[in-house]
Amino acid sequence: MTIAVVEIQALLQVVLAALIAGVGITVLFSMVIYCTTRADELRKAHSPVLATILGGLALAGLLACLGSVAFGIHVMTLK
Amino acid sequence: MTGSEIILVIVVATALAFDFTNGFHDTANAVATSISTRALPPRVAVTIAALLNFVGAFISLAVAATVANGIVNADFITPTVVFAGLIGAIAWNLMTWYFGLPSSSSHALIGGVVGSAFVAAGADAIVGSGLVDKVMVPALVAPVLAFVVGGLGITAAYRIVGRLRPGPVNRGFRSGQVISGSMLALAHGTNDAQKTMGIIALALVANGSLPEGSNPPFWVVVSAALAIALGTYVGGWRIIKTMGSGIIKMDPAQGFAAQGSGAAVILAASHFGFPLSTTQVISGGIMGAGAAKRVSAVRWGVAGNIVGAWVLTLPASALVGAATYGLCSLFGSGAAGPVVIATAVLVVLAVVFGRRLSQGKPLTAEV
Repeated sequence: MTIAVVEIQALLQVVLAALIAGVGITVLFSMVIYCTTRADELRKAHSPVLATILGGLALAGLLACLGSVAFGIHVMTLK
Repeated sequence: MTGSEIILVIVVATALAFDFTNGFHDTANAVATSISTRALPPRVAVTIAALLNFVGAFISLAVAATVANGIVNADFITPTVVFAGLIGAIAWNLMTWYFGLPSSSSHALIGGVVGSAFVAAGADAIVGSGLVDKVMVPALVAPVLAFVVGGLGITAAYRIVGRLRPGPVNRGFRSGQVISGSMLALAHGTNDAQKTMGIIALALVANGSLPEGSNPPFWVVVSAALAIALGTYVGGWRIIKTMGSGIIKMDPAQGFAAQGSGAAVILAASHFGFPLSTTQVISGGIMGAGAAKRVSAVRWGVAGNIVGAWVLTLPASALVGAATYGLCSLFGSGAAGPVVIATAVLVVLAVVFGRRLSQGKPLTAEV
C-alpha cells in the first residue's frame, strides 16, 4: 500500500512538472513573439520608450527559453 | 569461428539493423511538424535530425541498463532470446512504417524480448509488475498528458498572439520549431542509441568478450550512433506524412505547441526518472493542439488507427519474438537457428524492397 502511494505521488509529480514545463515553454515563447512583434509595431509608430520596454521583455523571455534548452540538455547528460 | 561467436556477430548485426529501423521510424517525431508548417525544407530537417541523433548518442555513455531491465528476469536473457526479441521489434517497426503509423520502438523491443523470453523460460522469466510500471502505465500517461499539455499550450498561445499580424507570428513559431525539433532529435539519439549499445554490450558480456559492468567499447558507440543517424537521414516518410498532415492540418503555432511542449514533457518526465515514449508524447501533443482549436479538426479515424497500433505494439512484437525463438530452437541451441532465421529475414526483405522499387516512385522527401 505504501509503495502504491509513493508511486502515485511520483506520477503526480511527473504530471505537474510536465504541465508546468510544457505549457510554460509555449506561453513563454508566445510572449517573446508578442513582445517582439509589438515592439516592432511601436517603433514604427514612433513610441520608442514602450518599444524598448517590450524589446527588453522579449530579450528576457528569449534568454529564459534558451535557459530551458540548456537545462534540457543538462537533463539528457544526467541519464 | 565458434558457434557463440557466430551468434554474437548475428546479434550485433541485428541490433544495428534494429537501430536503423528505430531511426527511420522515429524521424517523424523530430521533423514531421517542422516540415508540415514549412519551418524547414524536408531534406534539411532530416539532415539536422540525423546529425543531432548522432551527437545525442555520445552525450551520455551510461549503458541504459540493457534490454527490458526490470521487465524480463536477467538470468533468462541469452543472445538467442535477444536476437528473437530484436526480430520481433524490427518486424513491428517495418509493419507500422508500411501503414504509416507512429508507434514506440522501445515498446516493440520490450515486447519482442518478453515474447522470446516467455517461450525460452516460461512465465517465470517475465516480471509482471515491471511490465505494468515501465510499459503500461507510461503508455497510458504519455499520450493523455501530452494531449492536455498540447491543448492548454495552444489555447494560451492563441490568446497571447491571436490579435497580431499572422506573418511575424508564423515566422516566430517556425523559428521556435527549429529549436524544439532539434531538442527532440538530440533526446532521441541519447535515449534510443543507448538501447542498441546496451544490447550489443550484453551480447559481448554473454560471450565473455567484455567484463560485466564495463562501458561499451568505442566501436559499439560509433556504430550505434551511425546506424540511428543513417536511419533518421533515410527518413520514414510514410510516418512523417501521417504525423505532419494526417492527424491535423496544423499552423506554425500548433506545430510549436505540439513539438515544444512535447520536448518539455519528455525532459521533465525524464528528470523525475519516468521515461515516456517520444512517439506517444508527440502524437498526443499534435492531437491536443488540433482538438483545442476545433475538435473536428482532428482526423479521429487516423488517431484511432494510431492508438490501435499502440495497443497492439506489445502483443504483436511479443508474438513475433516468441515465434522467432520457437523457430530458432527447432535447430537446436547452437548458431544454426539464428543463422537460418537471419538469412530468411534478409531474403524476405530483399524480395519485398526489390518489388517495391520496381513498382515506381516511393514516398520520399516530397511530402
